[in-house]
Amino acid sequence: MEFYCIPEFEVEFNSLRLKNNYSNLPDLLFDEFNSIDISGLKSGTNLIPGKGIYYIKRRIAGSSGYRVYYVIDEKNNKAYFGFIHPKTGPEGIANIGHKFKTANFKSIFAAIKNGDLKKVTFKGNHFIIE
Amino acid sequence: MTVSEKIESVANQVKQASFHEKTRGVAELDIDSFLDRILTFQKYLADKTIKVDQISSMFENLTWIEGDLTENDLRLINEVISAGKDLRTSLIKRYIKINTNSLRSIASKEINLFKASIDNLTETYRDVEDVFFNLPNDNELNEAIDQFKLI
Repeated sequence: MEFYCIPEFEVEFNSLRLKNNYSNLPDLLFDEFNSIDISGLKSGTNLIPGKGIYYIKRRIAGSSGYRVYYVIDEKNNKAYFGFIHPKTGPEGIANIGHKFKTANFKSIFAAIKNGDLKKVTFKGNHFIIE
Repeated sequence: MTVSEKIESVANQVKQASFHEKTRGVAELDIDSFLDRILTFQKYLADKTIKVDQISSMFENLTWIEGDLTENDLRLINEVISAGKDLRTSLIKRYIKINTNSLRSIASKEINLFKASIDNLTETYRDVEDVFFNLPNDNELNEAIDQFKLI
């Protein structure tokens, strides 16, 4: 399974991990996605069911943890992280609306099309954007 | 189970939870009688939190139902969402009633988790509303999906 992220995800991830409230984020993402397979990725809220594409919203670290949005490319065994936000703390967001969900999907599509992606790897118990 | 039966099953369970919250739930929460029974109160809240989380999972599972949805299925999903909103209203009233200094002094963690489960319920039924009613009618999204399939 190969993981990538779009620039918006990288900006949000780097901003959050440097804050005390969210310094556990790289470890949590490692635990959640390291060694996961396609079927494991198909968990959470299936945002566009019946379309042959999986755009998923996934809960990390319980109700008051984080929410991660990603698209699965089942054919090529790849997944693309599009957005992440904490539920609580100073940067906490209750939810994102459907317009933002659409905008995020479009950003993921544009990044794939333009090759504007960063590789995500899992090393030393950390989630790393290369 | 057919798609309609699956949705109907969720609808019935959410409606039942909402009805329970409005009726028997009030009798269960006799604050004066269990102020001296801390563990009972903590367990009561923990159990309620688990039940709310289970309802949220049911909402989430609706998004994984395979097969084409009929207009009747969508009507049922709309009923589930309405029942979820109704349940949330009752739960918020409950939360306001228990979110007191005296009860926080004995079950702060349980009260916070209960509130988080209500917030999660709100989030999941709003997501279900997006998935079945808002996003399918979003032309920008549909165009992006069609283009995505060509990659």
